[in-house]
Amino acid sequence: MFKKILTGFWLVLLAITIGLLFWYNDLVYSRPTPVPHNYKAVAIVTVVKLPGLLCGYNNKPLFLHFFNPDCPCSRFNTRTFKALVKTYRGKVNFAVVVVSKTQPDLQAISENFGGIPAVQDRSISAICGVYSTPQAVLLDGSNKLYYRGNYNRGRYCNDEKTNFAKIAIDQLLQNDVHPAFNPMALRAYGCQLPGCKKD
Amino acid sequence: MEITQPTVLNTGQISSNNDQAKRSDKLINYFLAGYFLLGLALAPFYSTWLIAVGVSSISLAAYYSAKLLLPASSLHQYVLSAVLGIFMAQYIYQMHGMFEMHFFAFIGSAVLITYQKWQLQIPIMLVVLIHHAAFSYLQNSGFSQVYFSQLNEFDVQTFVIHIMLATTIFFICGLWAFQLRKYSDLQVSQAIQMAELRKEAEVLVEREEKNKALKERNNILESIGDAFFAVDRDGTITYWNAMAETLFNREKVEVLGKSLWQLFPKAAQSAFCSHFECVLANNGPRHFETSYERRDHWYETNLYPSANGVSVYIKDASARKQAEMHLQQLNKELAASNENLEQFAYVASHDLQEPLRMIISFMSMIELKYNSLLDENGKKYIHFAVDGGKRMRQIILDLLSYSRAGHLSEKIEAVNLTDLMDEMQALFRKPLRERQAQITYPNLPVLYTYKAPIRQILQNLVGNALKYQEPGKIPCVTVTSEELPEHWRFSVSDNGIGIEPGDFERIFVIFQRLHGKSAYPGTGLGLAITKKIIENLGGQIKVESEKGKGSTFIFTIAKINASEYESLILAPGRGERGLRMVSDIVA
Repeated sequence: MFKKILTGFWLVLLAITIGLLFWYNDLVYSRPTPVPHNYKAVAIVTVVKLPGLLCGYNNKPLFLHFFNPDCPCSRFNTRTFKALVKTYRGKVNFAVVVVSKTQPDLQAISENFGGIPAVQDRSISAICGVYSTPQAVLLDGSNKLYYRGNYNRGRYCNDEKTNFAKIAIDQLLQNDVHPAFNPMALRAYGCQLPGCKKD
Repeated sequence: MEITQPTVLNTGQISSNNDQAKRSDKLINYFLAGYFLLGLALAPFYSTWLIAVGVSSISLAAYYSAKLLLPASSLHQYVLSAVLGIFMAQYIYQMHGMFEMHFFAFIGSAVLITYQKWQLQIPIMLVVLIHHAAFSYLQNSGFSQVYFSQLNEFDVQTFVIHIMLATTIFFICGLWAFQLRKYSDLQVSQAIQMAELRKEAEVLVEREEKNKALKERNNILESIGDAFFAVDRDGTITYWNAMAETLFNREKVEVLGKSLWQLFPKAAQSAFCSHFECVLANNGPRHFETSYERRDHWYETNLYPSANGVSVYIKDASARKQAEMHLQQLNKELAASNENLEQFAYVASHDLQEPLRMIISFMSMIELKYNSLLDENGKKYIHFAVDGGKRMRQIILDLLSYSRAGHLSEKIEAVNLTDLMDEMQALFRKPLRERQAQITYPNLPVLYTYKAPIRQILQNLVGNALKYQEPGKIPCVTVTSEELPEHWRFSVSDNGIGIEPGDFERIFVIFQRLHGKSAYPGTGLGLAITKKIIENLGGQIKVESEKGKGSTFIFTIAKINASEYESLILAPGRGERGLRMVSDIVA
């Protein structure tokens, strides 16, 4: 009998441990990304001067997807970003800003995201005030910073009410010059950028 | 035949189920290894190494620790069921809520069928149910830290359909497990029943064969000409054949199952009873002859031990017994006849000598007294008469000797054959000297036997060897001996005229002569007498010869060793052999 009770306790303990593991793993993802100590905030409506390929686009808004292939959070919303590209292609210019320690195959990334340009330039993050992935940056036709924030509150990006990136695009396309964003949208979640240190 | 559904598991089924559980446990080891490896394989997608290693390891630890801690229990199977549900949740988590990972619930459910236990579907179903219910409730109620579904809203209807379909899967898998177990048990039960039926059939066949063999044996026992019955150790009659019915005038139905001693009270005081008890005591057969009830009928009774008692065969030996008695009577008559003939031969030969002697004497007196009165013819006639009388007297003497050949009234003694041969030298001194004959007899033994017969044998054979010679030829006679295991073997060889092979047997027949009286005188009784004497001494005689090159007579005499000799000379009345030779002559 003692052995049975012991076994029962042991099994319950293991079940709790499993639960804790799941909980801990979720907790890690649910925390905001720490702000780097040398972070310089870039305010909304600031005109951003992008280097290289991203410079000299037409007057359409530009949506920058900050993507780190090594970041799980960044990989989570690949499908969501693709959906945005599919929905707003033609109305909005899209580009992938790859943030990685290594030299990834930009061509492959570009093809993966439907042929939109992919660039790797660490200065773009600083120019846009981005310190985590995944992050969405939306510039209007005059290169003013319209939105910089998360894609969704939920990690699965399935909550339409908190589909922040989509909401931002819609507002911009509706010429909403004074958009109001949920504070949760503007507080960065996800992975730190490579080389960033906690505040 | 009706196969009943087993309500209680018998030993064979329990054993079968245990084997099946052990086989399934072995199989599950491979599945769990696969589950663990799959978790590791999914980890790189979203860097879920902690979950892959942590949750998988703890799940495996839960399963194997339950198995080790309670090996006799099936708890580990239920833990396995829950663990498979957890693996499904782990994979969903690892793949960021990928719907396809839900299939692992169904895979796990299918895997559990191997145990053929429908109850095992419950833990995995509960994991799925509780997991979906709890997290969908939290998600729908606005709990911000729960990311359960990629759907926008996991409403109650979706939840119910989701759970119902999942439950259906679990139910079907449980049903298959139940069916498998049920029909597996049924199959085992049927196999056991079949084995029992086969065994029963074998017993029936064996019994049938035994009955057939018994029937055949009974047919044999019924058809034999002997009375046969079987009795158990208590004397109860268990078998009684047709001849027994006839012999004892009792029907089978009257005697079977009844006591032999009560049915035949006289048998209890007869020799049969003692033989019967001997058979039971010694477990060996007994045979005896006796007459039952009627003195003119004899029966040969054989008793054999059997498994349950004694088997008795009674054969009517009256015909054989009567034949034996008749033969004995004939022997007696023959013996009396031989006695009379012997007496007659002796008396006749003895009494004939007297008148013959008178004839010879008076003829000799006539020849002597009236010699001057007789002319030459008269003298010749008288000579012929005297010569004929003398020859007749010799024949009578030989016949007398022949008739007495069987009468060995003397005692056995140590006979030195060299001394006997010395006597022969003296006996045949005259012919030996006249013809310069030689007799050699090297290393002859001393025998324990009858002296006179041996002397007569040697006298006859040596005499023949000297007599049957070519005129002018120097006779050479050699007597040798050889000791055999049971006999002494002697040979008397000569360089005489020899004998044709066709006459080898004839020479031993009484009154048979190969030559005329003028060439070699004799009565034709010498070798016949010799043969009879040798046969009476337990030996045989034969001749080897070639015409013109001499003959060798080989004879044997039964050996009497020293110890037998001692017993013979010490036991009064022994050592005399009364041999009836006259009857042999008559025969």
